[in-house]
Amino acid sequence: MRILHCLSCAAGRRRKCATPDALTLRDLPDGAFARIVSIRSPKNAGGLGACCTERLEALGLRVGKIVGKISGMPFHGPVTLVLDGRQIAVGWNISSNVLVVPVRDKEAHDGSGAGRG
Amino acid sequence: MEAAQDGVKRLLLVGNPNVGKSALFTRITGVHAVSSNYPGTTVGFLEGWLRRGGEVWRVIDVPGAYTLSPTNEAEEVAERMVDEGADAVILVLDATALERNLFLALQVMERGLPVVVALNMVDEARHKGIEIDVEELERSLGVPVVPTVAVTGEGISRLLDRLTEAGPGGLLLPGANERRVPGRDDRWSAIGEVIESVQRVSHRHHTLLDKLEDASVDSFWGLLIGLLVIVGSFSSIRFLGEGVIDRVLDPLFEAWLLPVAERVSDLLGGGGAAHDIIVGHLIDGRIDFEQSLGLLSTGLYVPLAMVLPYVAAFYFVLGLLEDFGYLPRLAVVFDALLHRMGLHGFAIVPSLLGLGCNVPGILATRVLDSDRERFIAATLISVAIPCAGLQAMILGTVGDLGARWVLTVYATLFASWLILGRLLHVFLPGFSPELIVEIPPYRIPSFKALGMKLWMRVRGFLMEAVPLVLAGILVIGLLEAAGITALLSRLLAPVFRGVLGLPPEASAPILLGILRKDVAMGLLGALGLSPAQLVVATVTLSMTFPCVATFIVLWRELGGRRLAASMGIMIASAMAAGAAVRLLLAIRV
Repeated sequence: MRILHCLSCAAGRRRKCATPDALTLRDLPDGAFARIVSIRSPKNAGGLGACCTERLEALGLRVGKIVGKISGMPFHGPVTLVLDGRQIAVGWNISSNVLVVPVRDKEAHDGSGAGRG
Repeated sequence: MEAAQDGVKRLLLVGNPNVGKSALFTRITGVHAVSSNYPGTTVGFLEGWLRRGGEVWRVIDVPGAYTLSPTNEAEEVAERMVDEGADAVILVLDATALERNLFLALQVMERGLPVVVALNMVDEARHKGIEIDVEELERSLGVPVVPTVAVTGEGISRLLDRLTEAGPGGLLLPGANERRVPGRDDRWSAIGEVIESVQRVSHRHHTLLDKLEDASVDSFWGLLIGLLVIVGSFSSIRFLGEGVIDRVLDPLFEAWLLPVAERVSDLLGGGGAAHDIIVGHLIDGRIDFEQSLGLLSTGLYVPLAMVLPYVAAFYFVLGLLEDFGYLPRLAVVFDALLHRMGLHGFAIVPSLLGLGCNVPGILATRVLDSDRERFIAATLISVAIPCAGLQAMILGTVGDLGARWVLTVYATLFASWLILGRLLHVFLPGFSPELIVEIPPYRIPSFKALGMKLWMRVRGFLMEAVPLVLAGILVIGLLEAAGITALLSRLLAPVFRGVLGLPPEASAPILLGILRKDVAMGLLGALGLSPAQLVVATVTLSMTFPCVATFIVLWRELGGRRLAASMGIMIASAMAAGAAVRLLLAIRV
């Protein structure tokens, strides 16, 4: 329910939103940092396949994590992220199904890697 | 726990992909590794031996996995191997991505196996400003933790020393004492606590390599770099291959093989069936390495002196790109294109491999996730990707006519690749899977590792390709002696003339292409075709039946039914492409 809620407010269909400034990973500007607030269930997402959530999690793409966007390739190409100091790339469809809330640079450096640095 | 009964202990190397597991494996076992397939799967793994303190260990390099709740075939095999038990497990963890690596570590430790942790790539972690408190990590996990740098060998002997201390570990998951199976969230929260207590990250400035890393996946620079890398790679492959052929191999063959072949030719009386099969036909009274088609002439010259240099040069450049860490970035650059052909970006790797030799290319399609992808990728490779041997022949025959004609051949093959890929994607049921790929940091390659990989690949080519060329030439000799080739060419001549605008003599070489495309190309060159006809024949030949080796591998990978489908697609597209080029170049018969 919460997930649907988020996506519909990202699409501007709801007026009252818990996270009004949420956007999809693919719409996040290059170089920006953001916290993942939801990952849409792969069952409903065309072409994601059933395995993906677990593989995404294994690569560190989980709700609550802070990611930095490095780039998005043109023509619906993949989005490259930095997560825990490592780069990963995910297809355009996945990036359209991951909802994030931008954070300031300072927070990103404090929060990423889960360290105390 | 099995094993042990014969005194040999079982040691598993377990870790995520790209953590330096294979480098560690080579450090532990030396070079004598046996590569095999896990029974009933297409997943390969390495096995080696370690003798230490009077004990013999069978060391198994378990396929890289992110989790033991499998999300692909490699992980399924990893899970089964771990479940088969071990006398010790070396868990290889990447110090630069500890959090994510610990997920797999916990799953292995939950199974109660005796574990030692190799905290690998500690040098890189230091560079990245990641500090890990090894003692604290050891305390939290309850197993020995040894910092290592597998590529240089640092820490390996200490790691093996502590193998005897391997224990099942004592990290208690929240909820474990409540006697329920720990779930994903339990593991992640336990990992969070461990990370909190052992890892410190300090900010550091970007280096030149970091900037290059970001640029390689940039929407503009990434494409530009990708293009430059591809063009640069192929220019250097050509430069290296040609250099070796002109300066080393051609003179060598003239000086060593020619006298031997001539001597045998004299002994056999300069003609007859046995002479033609062993030495080949004399061209103008002389042995011609490219066209005589005997076992001692063409049979040795083509694989060793024409193809091998390109194959070796290709694998050298590919190994360099691989070890530098560029290939996953190429996957990112190509994903948007490949996605429209039913593949994801990573299919670029098998396709590139296919440019060296189709056989390893098709074998590498195993890294793709679904049967549909594997079928599309394998079919595309065998139809539209010319291997190094074929390319050497294309350059050798069409190259004499000028760069324009060579470009026409390549452009046609590339266009066929795109169009056929698109058609397969549209007409086959199913969907394009999504790219999920980890992009390792750029690393300066170790030339020792590079040399070893090159040697293993070249050796593989020699062991598989050379016997097949010899067998192919033998069969060609026998078929010709039996008059079967002549019969088939007569039957097919109308098709070749009507559709492709080629003279009847051209049908024989194209048929020979079933056995060896590169040999057949040499024959085409001798027919005196017009440039346009030669281009049509070359395109058709490149796209029709793959060589015997490719055919066998396709059969093994796809199975009989899908092989037949793939062959049908192949013939149709070869004819279509040939006819299209004929129309474009306006050939009249």
